[in-house]
Amino acid sequence: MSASVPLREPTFLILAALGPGPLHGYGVIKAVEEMSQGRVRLRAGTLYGALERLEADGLVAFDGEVSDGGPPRRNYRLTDTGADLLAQEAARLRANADLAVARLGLRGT
Amino acid sequence: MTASTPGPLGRWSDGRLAASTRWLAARLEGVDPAFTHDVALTVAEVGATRGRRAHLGELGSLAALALRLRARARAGPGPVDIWRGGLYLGAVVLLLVMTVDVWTAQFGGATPRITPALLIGPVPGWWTAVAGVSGAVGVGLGYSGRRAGALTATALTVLVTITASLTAANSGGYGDLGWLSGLGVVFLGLLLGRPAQRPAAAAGPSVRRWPRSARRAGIAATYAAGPLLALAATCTVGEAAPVALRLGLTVLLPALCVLLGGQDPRLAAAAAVVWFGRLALGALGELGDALRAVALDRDGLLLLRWLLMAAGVAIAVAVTGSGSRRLTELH
Repeated sequence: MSASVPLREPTFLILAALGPGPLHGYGVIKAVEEMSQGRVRLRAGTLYGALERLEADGLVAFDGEVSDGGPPRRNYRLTDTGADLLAQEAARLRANADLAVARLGLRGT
Repeated sequence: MTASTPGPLGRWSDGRLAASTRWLAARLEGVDPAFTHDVALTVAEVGATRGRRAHLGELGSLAALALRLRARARAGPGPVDIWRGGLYLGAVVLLLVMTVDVWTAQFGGATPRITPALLIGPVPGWWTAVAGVSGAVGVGLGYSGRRAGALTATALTVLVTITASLTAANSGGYGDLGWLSGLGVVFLGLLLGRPAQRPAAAAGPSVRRWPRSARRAGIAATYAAGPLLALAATCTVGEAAPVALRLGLTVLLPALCVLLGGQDPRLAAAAAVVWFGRLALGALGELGDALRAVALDRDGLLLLRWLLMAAGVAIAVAVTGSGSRRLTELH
């Protein structure tokens, strides 16, 4: 597996979007936009390039095709390995954020 | 899914955007057709909900993805694979550039000042024509992935050049040496590089009008005929044609390759080979003249030109390296 922390932001957000359950490509794009409050708008080329690498690295997996009236779409789900990596990265980011907040707190003293 | 919002991009009608999406998606190599289909659906869905301008942006990102996947499918994911693919591609392009020069020298005899190093033998004649034909054959064979044939054609061109130099009373000298240096770069590129691995079957939903083998043969023939098109341009346009051709093939085309090299680093590697080949073709010898001119407090333009060419090679190498890393990283 070539992926390790720190993850790039789009990769982190894609994994986070898949956290609650499987999504298709457009669902991931919408979820990332909502999670980031419109700050990050993934392009399809970026998303599928990342999904293809993440799938090859065993961090996400194909989860069947779904169709809600339209043409069938490929669903992707987070694997256990992907969930572990996401948790590691979240812990790293949280530790850094805590550190920064603590250091900022020292400014007033 | 909502209807596409009308915008100022009238030329890019919904139908044309959809066709462009399908065309680009069909160029994703090394992935299964279901993946390709899903990418096209997502791009169409984003375009339908966010409008035509967003759809155009999505097409750009789809083109970048197609280039990345193409590089990986045709060369392999590692930096060595990428370099080998780029070396081979660059060698074929360099041979094309040099063969174009030969043909323009052969039939653009009125412009000897701007085609100084390309006559095979003392004057345009049979030797130059034979070198032009063997170069064109090498380009066609090289494009179609027949490395042994391309190497043979290049070696034949070298042989023709040496024979012409030995048999002509006042031939040889710097021009032939520069030409031979360029052919040496081509030969090494073909030898050390690796032809692209062609996809086994057409991906995507588009229907091909011609069989793949016939299309490949047609493209190879077109590449081989490129020098003859240069000949036609030389005969028609006259003195401006060689300048325009040289500018296009040795500056604009490699510069475009470097720009695209962030996505397909083989293209940047190919540009590095072409520019290095041009340095080997004459500008290496110019460095001494340029330094001498600067030392004598004369025109520094020659040195500037040399530095720009060398910088071009360095930039192309750097882009190849960063593009190769991107292919293997998550992003």
